Amino acid sequence: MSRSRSFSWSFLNRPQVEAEVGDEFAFHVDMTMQMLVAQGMSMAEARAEAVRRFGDIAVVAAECQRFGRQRDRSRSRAEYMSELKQDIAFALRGLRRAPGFAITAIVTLALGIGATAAVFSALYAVVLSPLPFADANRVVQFEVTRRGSPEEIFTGAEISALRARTDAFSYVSAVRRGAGFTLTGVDVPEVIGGMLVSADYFRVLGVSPRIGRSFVDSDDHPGAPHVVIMSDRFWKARFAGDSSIVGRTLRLEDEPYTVIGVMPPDFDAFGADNKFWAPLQLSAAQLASHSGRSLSVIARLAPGVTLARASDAARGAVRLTAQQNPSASQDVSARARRYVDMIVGDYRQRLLVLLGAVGLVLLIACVNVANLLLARGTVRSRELAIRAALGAGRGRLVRQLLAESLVLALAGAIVGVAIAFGLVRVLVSLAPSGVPRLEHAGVNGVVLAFTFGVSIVSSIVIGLVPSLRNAGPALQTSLREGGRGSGGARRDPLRAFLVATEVALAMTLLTGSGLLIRTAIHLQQVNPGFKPTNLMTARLLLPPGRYRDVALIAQTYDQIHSAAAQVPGVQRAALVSVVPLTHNQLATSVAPEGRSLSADERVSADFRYASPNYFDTMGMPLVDGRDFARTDDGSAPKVGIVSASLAKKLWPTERAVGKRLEVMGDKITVVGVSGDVHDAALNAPPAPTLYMPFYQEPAGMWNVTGRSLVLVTRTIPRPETLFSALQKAVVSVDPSVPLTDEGSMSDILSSSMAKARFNTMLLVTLAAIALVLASIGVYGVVAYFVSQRTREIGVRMALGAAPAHIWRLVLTRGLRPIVWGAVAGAALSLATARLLREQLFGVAPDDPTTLLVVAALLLAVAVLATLMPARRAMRVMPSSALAAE
Amino acid sequence: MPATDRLHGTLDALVLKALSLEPRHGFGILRWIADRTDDIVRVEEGSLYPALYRMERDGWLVAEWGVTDQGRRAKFYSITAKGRRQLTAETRELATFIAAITPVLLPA
Repeated sequence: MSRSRSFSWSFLNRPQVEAEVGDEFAFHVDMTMQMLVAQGMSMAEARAEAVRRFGDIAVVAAECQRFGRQRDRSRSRAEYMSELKQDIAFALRGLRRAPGFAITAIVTLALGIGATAAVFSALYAVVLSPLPFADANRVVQFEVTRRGSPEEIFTGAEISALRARTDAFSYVSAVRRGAGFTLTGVDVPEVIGGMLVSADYFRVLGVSPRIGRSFVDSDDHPGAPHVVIMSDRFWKARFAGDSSIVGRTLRLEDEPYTVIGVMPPDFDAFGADNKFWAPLQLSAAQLASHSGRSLSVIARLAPGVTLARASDAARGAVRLTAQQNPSASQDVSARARRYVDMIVGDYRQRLLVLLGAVGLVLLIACVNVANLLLARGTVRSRELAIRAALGAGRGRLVRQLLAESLVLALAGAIVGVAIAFGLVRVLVSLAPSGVPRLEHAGVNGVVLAFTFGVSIVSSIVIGLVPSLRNAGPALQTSLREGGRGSGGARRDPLRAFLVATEVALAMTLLTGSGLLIRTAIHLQQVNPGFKPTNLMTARLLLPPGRYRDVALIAQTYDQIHSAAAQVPGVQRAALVSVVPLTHNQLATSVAPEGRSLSADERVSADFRYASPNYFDTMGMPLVDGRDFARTDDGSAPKVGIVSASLAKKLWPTERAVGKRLEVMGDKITVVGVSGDVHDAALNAPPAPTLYMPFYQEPAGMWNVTGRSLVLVTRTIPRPETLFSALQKAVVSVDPSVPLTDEGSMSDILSSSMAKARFNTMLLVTLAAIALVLASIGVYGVVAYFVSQRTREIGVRMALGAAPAHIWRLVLTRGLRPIVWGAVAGAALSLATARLLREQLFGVAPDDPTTLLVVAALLLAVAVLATLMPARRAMRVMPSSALAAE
Repeated sequence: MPATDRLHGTLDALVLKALSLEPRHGFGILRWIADRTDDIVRVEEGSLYPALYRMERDGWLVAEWGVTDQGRRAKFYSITAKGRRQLTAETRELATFIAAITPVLLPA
């Protein structure tokens, strides 16, 4: 049987067809010549005439070759398909005869493929699926680096300078995110979150409203009539999707706003709590200002402008602005980053790591199935040998075995897709909130195509290695040896290699999750700087209409403070502008009085307004000086309390209490020093913080904060039980003041770690699956080894081998590849743990303790998996082993 | 039916007919047609071979290399079941065609 029949590629046929046509024509010419010579022509004449009869012989030959090639192609295709059909039928028959094997293999693969598909669908939804912006890659957001620390907020003057760079940017829009407006004149007043943007905002993004119109330049002029565009979700939730909404007037912050449009639904994917967009209406003075940064900036690149050129232009713009203002720091730089990347943020990295991890699990599953196939191949080697003897080529045999793994992988993929459907839902419901677009994750066409591709690759992985070996030259020996399958009982480096691979992959996953677990433990041990248990927080909002006077605001809050403190079960109560770990920090720069510091030397500090008793209520120590008192009011000298880290920065060698500092144009006296708090996150260092009494909060600041404070209470019973009593206390002061967003400080603390915990949970789950799969693999291989060696063990025992000797034989055989795998796994772990660097806290990616603990765990499990079959080997009765022959 | 198709069909029918009795090589097919029509119908080599390859591609014929009576290697064509069906169909259409044009061109 020719080899080329089983691997017939059409390009190989080209010379064959040409030769075929040539031979056939040559025969024809010869025959015609013979005939013509017999009729009396000379040889030369006869040859010329015979060729002439073909007409243009080259053209005719070419036409024949063309048909011939078409014939060969369709023939080899037909042959291939019919062989494939045979192979698949053969594979199905074989699998039906071994249902235990088939089910084990399919379920193993389905778990691996299903988990991979689920993670991929999350990756696709969050990172890969196209954004609802026109030409999304042309949209950039700017980042400015001042004195080495990057931030995303710009001064008015910088925004104007960026706008002037029309050579690089088609449209530039300033954005104030997280604006909160009180919506009144409806049944239930509420605070709605939205964005204030320049008129060009939607031109930058290239999106138009689904109904109504977009902003025009005149909407953005100071003093222009207020207009607002709302999100699809808010429109549907609040106005039941009523399209007559366009043109209606809403009362926001007690001012009339005309609704001019509603954005399309897919635009909701960016910030679910963003319900409206309104023009910023920046004044000329604001656009020339060198102070007061609170706006981020996005832009659409001009045609042909690269990201690098955009960064150059942005850098030029901020440096130019700095030069115009000599008192500002000249140490500034800026760059443009793809807006897409800013939105997706570190989810790309996290999800890719997760996909890698789940890919490793799939690989382990594949190796397990390959191992099963290998064992099965040994069982089947007699059958294969017969087929080979009957004339099946080696290529054909390999293909037959591949067909089996293909059938397994496709069946695994079908079950896997069903598993993925469920897993995606679990993933989305367990995921921390705020992952953009995750709610859109699902099994769609792209995911199905990916899954199909993964299963094809899996089938090659699981099939190729055993196929090559089973179809190899050892076949004839298996016929001669009466089909006892002795081939598998020889030393088996391939099988050992597979076990080592599994162990190495499992070790990599275990190390990754070990590092994350250690990170979680370290985070648990971080002292947040306050005592989170039995602390309730809830936001208070003074309605804008009535509360315009600063003294009235302060007085009302003071009354609420007293009323709350008297609620039974409340131990202490306090008010503060922002509680820790809620990402609403306000920051400014401060300097010690009398030392004229350059802009570069000023210290950046978070600041917040608080009531007396705040530190006491939070359980934060006052390390020096005194607390705020009711007498620190609007008429008294301005005072402040600095955190220990701020005190150290401002006065490294002196006592801070009694010193004065300059902040936002005021001079205030430091009356106390508080302990540090992990404000931004537990894994971030405490930020230097300045506390000021809310009695002294200026009118402008009340406007920025929306006349809002957070009520913090330390309670004796569980915090949730006191909420309605506190609400009553607030209403007793003013029935129109809402108390909202209630929560416990413990919840805030735990939700600040939700992302990290979710990632840890996923990786630990994957690692556990990997460990189980790998130990099943180890068990399978050792058990197989024992079963193949039953006769040998029996003989050895009959000849008086000590049991210890048999133990050693089996254990060495089982453990050697495991040790190799652990060594390779350690190397692989060191190489891949770097990917986790940003998610780690208090532990280095190459932490030796983690590596050792993981290796020990893996070895322990592997030894257990080895011991079970080893015990069976000990029970082998010499007589039965020999009788089995 | 366009005339070229008619011509193709006629050539195909002649070749299939030639092969319906026994397998032949290309030269043999030409000789058979010439003998049967007393040298009146002369199929050209430049038409015959492309037709043979086309019909082989379409599965009407199969070819096999064999040895002639004189001991020479030649490619022998034989008709398939599909080819026989095609021959029947072509013959019927040709008969209809001749029946249609005969009264026009050769009025009795």
